[in-house]
Parts: sequence; C-alpha cells; structure tokens
Amino acid sequence: MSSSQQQNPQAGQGQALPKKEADLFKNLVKHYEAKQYKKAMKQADLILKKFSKHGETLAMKGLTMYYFSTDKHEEAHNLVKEGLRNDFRSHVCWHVYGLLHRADRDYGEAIKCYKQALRIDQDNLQILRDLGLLQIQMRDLSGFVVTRNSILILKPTLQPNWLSFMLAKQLLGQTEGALQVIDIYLETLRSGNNTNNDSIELLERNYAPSELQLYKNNLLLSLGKWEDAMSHLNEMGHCIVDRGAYGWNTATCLLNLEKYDECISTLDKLMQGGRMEDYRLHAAYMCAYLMTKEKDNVDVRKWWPVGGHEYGGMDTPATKFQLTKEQSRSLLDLYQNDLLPQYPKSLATKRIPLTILWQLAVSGTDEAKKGWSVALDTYMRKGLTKGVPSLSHDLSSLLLVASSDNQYQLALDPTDVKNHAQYGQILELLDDYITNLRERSQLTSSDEKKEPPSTLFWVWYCRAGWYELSAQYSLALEDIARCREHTPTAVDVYELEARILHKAGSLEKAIESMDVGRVLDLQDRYMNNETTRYLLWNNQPKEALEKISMFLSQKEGPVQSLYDMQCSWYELELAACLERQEQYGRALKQYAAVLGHFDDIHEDQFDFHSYCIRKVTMRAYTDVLKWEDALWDQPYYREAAEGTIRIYLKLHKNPPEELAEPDYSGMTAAEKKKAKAIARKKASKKKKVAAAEAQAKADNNTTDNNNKSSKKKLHPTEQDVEGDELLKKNALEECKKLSAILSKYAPSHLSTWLLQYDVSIQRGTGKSLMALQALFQARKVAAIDNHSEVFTRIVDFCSRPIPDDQPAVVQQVLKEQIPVLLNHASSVSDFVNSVAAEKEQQKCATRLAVAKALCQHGGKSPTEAAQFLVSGAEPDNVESCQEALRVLQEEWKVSDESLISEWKRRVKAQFPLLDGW
Amino acid sequence: MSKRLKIDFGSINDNNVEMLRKVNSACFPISYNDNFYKDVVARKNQGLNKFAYYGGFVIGAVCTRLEPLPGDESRKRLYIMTLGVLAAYRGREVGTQLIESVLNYYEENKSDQFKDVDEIALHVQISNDDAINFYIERFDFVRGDMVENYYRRIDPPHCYLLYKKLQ
Repeated sequence: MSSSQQQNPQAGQGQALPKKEADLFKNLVKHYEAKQYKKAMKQADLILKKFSKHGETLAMKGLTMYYFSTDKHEEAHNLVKEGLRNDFRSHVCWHVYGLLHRADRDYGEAIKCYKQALRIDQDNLQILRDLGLLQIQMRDLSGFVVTRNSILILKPTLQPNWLSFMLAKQLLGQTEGALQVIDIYLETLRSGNNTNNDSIELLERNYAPSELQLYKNNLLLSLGKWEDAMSHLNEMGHCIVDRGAYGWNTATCLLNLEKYDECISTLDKLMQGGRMEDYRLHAAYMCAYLMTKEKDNVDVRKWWPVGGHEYGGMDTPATKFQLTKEQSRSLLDLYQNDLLPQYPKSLATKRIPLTILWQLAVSGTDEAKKGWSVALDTYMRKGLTKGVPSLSHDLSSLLLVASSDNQYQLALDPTDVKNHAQYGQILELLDDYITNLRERSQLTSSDEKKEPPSTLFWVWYCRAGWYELSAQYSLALEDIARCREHTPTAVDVYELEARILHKAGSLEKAIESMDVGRVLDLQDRYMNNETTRYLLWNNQPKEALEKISMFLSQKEGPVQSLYDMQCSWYELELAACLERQEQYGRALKQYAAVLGHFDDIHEDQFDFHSYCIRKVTMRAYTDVLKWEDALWDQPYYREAAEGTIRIYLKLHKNPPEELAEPDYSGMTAAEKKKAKAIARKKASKKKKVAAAEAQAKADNNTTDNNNKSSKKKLHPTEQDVEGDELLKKNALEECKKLSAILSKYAPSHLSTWLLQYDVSIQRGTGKSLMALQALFQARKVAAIDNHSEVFTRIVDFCSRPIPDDQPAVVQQVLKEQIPVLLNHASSVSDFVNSVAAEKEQQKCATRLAVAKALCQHGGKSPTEAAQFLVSGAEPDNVESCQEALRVLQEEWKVSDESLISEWKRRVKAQFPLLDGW
Repeated sequence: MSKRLKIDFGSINDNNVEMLRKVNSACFPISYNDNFYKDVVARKNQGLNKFAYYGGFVIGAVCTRLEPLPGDESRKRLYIMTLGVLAAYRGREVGTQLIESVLNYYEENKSDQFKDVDEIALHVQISNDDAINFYIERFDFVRGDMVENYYRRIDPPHCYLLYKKLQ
C-alpha cells in the first residue's frame, strides 16, 4: 500500500476506513447533525491524526467549522475543497460542498454540487431531498418535479413524498396531474395495502386529512370543475374541520352551478356562524339573491368572476355597478326585511344598504331621495354621538362617480370631490348639526334626546376631515381650532391638525401639532411613530431617532433594534431624508438594510418547504409561495430599490470627489503636487476620524460585556456606518441589477419604467431599444395622457440623434417608432406645441413639464413659457408648485415680476401655510 | 336625560401628566409650575389625584394633597389644590362626581390612612361665586377667613379659605 493511500484509504475505489475510524466518522456525522460542533471537530481530528488526507473527514470538518465559528468561513471552504481534491469521486464530499454553498446562500452552485453527487450515487434519498429543497426555493419547477418523482419512486410509502410530488405538479401548472396524484394516493390508502399508520389517519376527521381534502377541492375550483368540486364536498364534507372554508367553497360551487337558493342558505349558515362582517360574503349573497329575483338583468359572470377575487375591502356589487331600480329595490328589501332584523349589530349589514339607497336616489323619485336622506342622517348621527373618528373617511366612500360600462369609481381628486352632489349634501347636514347642537344640544330639531357635550366636538372633527377631502385647508383648520378649544385633551385632533397643516404647506407647524398630541399620551406608539416620520420629512434625523428610541430596547441600542425588527418604514424615511441631504453613502446604507430584509424574507421560506408538507398545511403553504413570488413587487422593496437606483444614477453622473480622479490637466507640476497633497490630507483625515469613531464604539462594547464582544461579529448596523463601501461600488452596474429586477417583478408600476429608461440612457446608445421599450411600457402604465414624467422622457429620447454606431436594424426600428411616441407629429417641436395647445388647465407637474419643453424644444422664449405655465397650472401639489417657482426664478430668470407674484398668489390661495412664501 | 354625565376615573402618571396641564390651562387663570405637576405624579395616589374621562377624553381633574393642619402640627387636612372641568362639559356634575370620589376615598380610609385627618379645605378667589356656592351648597363647606393678597398675578388677589370638618 502506498503512503498516500495509507493516509486516505477511501480515495478512488479504495477500501473503507478501518472499523475504529469508521465509527468515529459515524459519530462525527451524528454530532454535526445534533449541532454539537465542538465534539464533531474532535472526532474529525482523531480520524485525521491517522489518515490526514481522508477526503470525507476533511470535508465534514470544514462544514462543521463553518458553523462552529463565524469568522473561519474561508478556512472552512479551503478544508472542504481539500477534501474534495483528495476524494473527488465521493458523493459525500460533493454533498458536503453543496451544503457549504447552501449555507452561503449560493444556491446555484449548491445545486451543481448536489447534481454531481447524484451522478455518483443516483438513488441517495438525502441528497435528492436537499436538491428538491433548493429547486423549489429557486423555483426551478421542472427540475423540482423530476426530483420529487425520483424520490416518490424510491420511497412510495411516505406520505410527504406523495404530497410533494402533487405540489410540484400543481406549481408547474399541471393541476389535472396534481389531482391524479392525490387520487392515486388516497386510493392506495383505501385499498388497505398500506400499513403505515400515519397515512391511514388521512381518511379520518382530523386536521391533516381536512387540509388535504380542502386543498384538493381548491384545485377543482381553480379548474372551474364545479360539479366535481360539489360532489367532492358532499362526499368528503364529514372529514373537513375548517367549516368556514367548507361553507365558502360550497357557496362558490353553488353560485357557479346556478343553484341560487341553496347558495343563499349556505351563506346564511356562514353568517349565522359569525361571519356577518365579511364583505366578500355579502357580495356573493347579493349576486345570488339578484339571480333569484332579476335573473334576466344580471350577468353573473361579470358580477361574480370565478372565485369573486375582484371584490376587495368594502366592495359589493352596489359600490361597483350601476344597479337598475328593480335590482336596488330587491336588495334593499333583502337588507331591511331580512338581514338587518337577523343581525341588528352587524356594521356591514347597516352600512351596505346606505350605498343601495344612494343608488336609488341618484336618478330616482323624490320619495327615493327622501329615503336616502333619512338613512344618511340616521347613519351619521349614530357615528357622531358615539364618536367615530373615521366617520368622514367612511362617508367618502359614498362619493362614487359613474364611469364607462355602468361601473362606479371613487372620486379622489379634490375638485371632483367638491363637485360631487353628496359632498355638498353631507356638508349641509354637518352645518345643520352644528347649529342645532349650539342652540339646543340636539343634532336635529325633531330629535328627542339631548346629545352629550362630546358630540359637537365630533361634528367639527368630521367636518374638518370633510374639508380635507376637498382640499379646503383653511376651513378645515378653523374647525380644528374649535375642536382644540372644546376638548384640548383629545389626541385625535392633533394628529388631524398635523396632517392638514402639512397638506396646507407647513411641515414645521405640522410637527409642532403632532408633538403636542404625542406628549399628551407618551404611551401612544402611533403618535410617537408619526412624529418620527414628520421629523424625517423635515430633515431632522437626529431628533427623529431620539423620539422613536423611546419605544425601543435601550440594551441593544435603537439603531440595531430597528434593524433587527426589520422596521422598514423608518429606514426608508431615513434614507429619503439622507438622500435629500446629499449624504449618499448613509442613504445607500439604509436602503441596503431594507433590501437586506427582503433577502431575509425570501430566505425565510426555506424552512417551510419541508415543514408545511410534513404538517399538511398545503393551502397556507401555496399561499406563502405565491406571496413570495410577488415579493419584489412589494411597496417597501420597490421604494428601497428605486431609491438605490436614483442615488447610483446621481453618483454615476457626478462621482463624489474622493472617488473621482480630480481634473489635473491644465495645472503646472507644482500645482498638481499641491492639489494631490491636499486631497491625500483630506482623505487621511477622514479615515482617522472614522477609525477613531469605530475604536470608541469598540471600546464601548468591550466595557459592556468584556470577553464576548471581541469575538462577536459586528452587527450590520455597525459596519461601514458611512456607507463608503457602497459608494465605491460600480454605480451603473448596481442600477442595472436592480432595474432588471423591478422590470421583471414589478412591471405594473410607472416608476419601474421611468427608472429603467433613465438607466438605459446612461448605459449608452447600445441600449437605445431598451430605453424605447421602457418608454412604451411607461406610456401604457401611466394610464393618463402626457403624464409629466413620461412626457419629459419622450421629448428627451426623441430629441436625441439616431445613433449611427448601432446596427442598421436598430436604427430602422428607432426611425419607425419615434413618430409613434410623438403621436405622429412632424417634429419634437410640433409635438410639444400640440400638447401645449390641448388643454386650458392642467396639473402643475404636467404644465411645468410642457412649459420646460416649449422653452427647450418648442421654440418659445422663457417669458412665453412662463406665461404658459402661470396661466394654466393648477396649484395641486406643494412640491411641484415649489419647483415651478424655482424654475421661474432661477432657471428662466423671469424679469416680469407680475408673473411671479401672480403665481405666488395662486399657490398661497391653495396652500395658505406654505413655509417660506 | 339625566343631568349627570356618566364619567370614568383614571390615574395621573408620568405618561399622561400633560393632559393635566391642558385641563388646568384651559380652566384656571393662573399657571402652575413644573413642581406642581412633578409632585402630583410623584404622589401616585389615585384616590386623591385623578382624571375624569368621558368617551375616552380627559374632561376634568382633581388634585388633592395631605398636609399638616395649620396651627396643630400633629393633625392633618386634605387640601384641594385644583378642581377643573373643561368648559364644554360643565353643568353636568362632573366636578361634583370628582369631589364625591375624593370624599368617598376619605370615608373608605378614615380609620387607617386618614385617621389623623380633621378637615378638607381649599382656597378660592373671592370673586369666584360659582365655586364658592358649589362647595358651600353642595358639600356643606364653611367659608373661613379672607386671606389678603394670596394671589400675585390675578385680580382680585384675595381669597377665602373654604373648609369642612370631617371628624
């Protein structure tokens, strides 16, 4: 035997370890699995003493070391690699290498290693299972289905193997196949060939079998197999324990099978069971009921699309569709004579008829109008006596506007709100209440009972909220002053006041109000957090941190606990604040923290892949998978990604001085030397300060807990506090990466495409088609014509020369598509001028964008552009109004003072408290 | 409708003492200094210092302290420092209920905590007829001597001592 073989007996197809060492190796694996890393290391060392090149032991030692001490990851990698070098035909070594990559979250590499291991030992269940976990995590669904199939064939007696295979089929879109798998499996249980006790329980009434049956039923529903789903429910209903889901599925089937009476009685049972506040249930009820009464007039496919997923929040057919008189009357009859007597306390049951009555009144008789007025009055008085802070918001959902296709939409724009008939009607009612309360402590003159003193407060409060909807901020503030005078101890009023002051233009005053409310009740976390948010808006990060710290663990330090709690809203507001202050490194650091949280959330699902299958929580599990698939479309993620892209774009255009090589050309040698010395000095000074700070921090830690902290890995919030590392990254590369994610996962948002355009332009003429595509997407998503941001970019793109360094085909596409972007105007100038001629009044942002384009590309002088801007821009938003003033004064240097003062006058009329006007 | 507003009582503590400031500054012509509020919180006696709540809002408060009886250092008296109800909520017996609750608290504890307490007393500006009538007519307080120049910044600066023997 050669000496190398003596040290490494298993290499190649050599013989196994001697008995003693083989036992040691078994112990090593056992200890590793039990997370007893120290013991495992000891076993490994004992084996290596005799066989210093034993590959599998080296690999296992490396893996153990990885978990044993976090600062030896590199050494761990080296050990595993050495093990692999010594025994590259061992599946154990490859498996271990895969596990190491997995620990590093490098799933792509891990999958490769597992596959290599399986080439050597193709029926290794453990490796197959590990591979499957990574495939589902990475959504390699076609690979996943193959892996789970192999596992099932190897071990068909285990229930999880059937469930996983079934799930794999479903995820791949093979719902029919998934159903077949369930049926085959259940059949093997029924025929009694199976001796596994766990599995037999699946036919009894228990949680796991119940979930499995409901899962199967959901699959049938998703295929629209109503008959099959119904008979399945009838057959297996006895073993379903989630009666709510059972009832809802039954009702869905019956509705689609046009068995409306049965559907209604099923829904009745659900309501009696306590679900009378579920608006989706009400919506289904209304659809079914109308079908029994007005069959010919209702298109149930439109009103109740499969599963009713169109209904969210407080939507019902009455808020979405224009009902005929007959439909309204039968629904009203349903609620007033049937549901309300049954559920007199249900809020939904009281609120829904209000919308129906409104529909009846809109084009109805005087009698109908009277009925609606009385109902509205009753509803409002109840809320005011009780003191419902959200009443004005609740009532705002009555401000419905008919759109095309006999559907309704909510009025959101302040002008639309103000012009709505019911806005005026409700305002009048509120005015009357106030008069009556002041004269005789009653809400209406016909009222029997006297109101408590707080009612007057709530009427003012509600009216202030009502004025807020129509952007009449001065009137709102007058009512708020009355509230403050009446009950200065009411926290609610300060919050509303702050919100309105902010909208009216004064952030400073808003913060003052918020803080008055906050100190009234120091335990009110909402008020504390809102104050924090306002302070960040006002660029006061230090004060904000002080405030929010009052609710945070003092032991770990506020910054760390905010990070550990994944407090994204705070990190995002702080990042935006730092971005405004041009502290780009620190801002990037905050955005990176949020992006990191989302990586963690994505990573978190890993544990569910095996757990959920074992526990048979299939419905919840598939929901989680679906949710994780849409993770990069979450608002917080998008905000962080967009912020990061914005900053890197700025850095790309204007690199910070430390990073950029200063322009030394045109200097004499001596000047150059001097400039370099200064730059060096600056850099070293900055380094010293940073080092001193880090040292101070480290010292603090050691005094806190002497020996631990020296070993402890630095918390992410303590590393690279200034974000210098982030500043050094390749800016354009980072933009490209994030913009690609947003384009793929968040394509329905305008900001995604605006940034994609900006990034593509910076990447040069080679990406012209990408920029073009982004513009078309943006135009599609923006939904309104000439959105200011889209308009500006279209003008920018079309005024660039066609790049002659690009292939002919690219130039051809651009030549064809640019006229499409310009609505077939003959030139950019024509396009701009035709857009300018379209409307009299426009949103301020749009008007400003068009005015700037007129000046740059439309052949107009700054004065003409300024006249165009001031004459037709609606002061609808503080930021764009301020930007307009800046452009007028600084960019165009308009000399006509009357134009400037006219603009200021119009803006101040809308935002009376604007800071610094 | 009964005249009496149905109120709840609540304690005054570090977290909500600013509410007391709001009530007091809405009710009284004089402003109390920080020490007044610190003492109220430090005393932590919910029986003697409390808020009146209606519909979730603080609408009034009473603050009382135990102090040596002037002239006889071995005996004590309950001294009402402030009793305030927000204007919008007056005339609904909120103040009455607050004083009643202090008196009830005394009754419940007169054999131990308050065994050396002889009377309950307060100072009231001589022009404040409403307050004087309130204590005398509703709670049988007695009008004592006038103290001249008791207040510094308000006119008239004189006050009466109102008191009621408890045992």
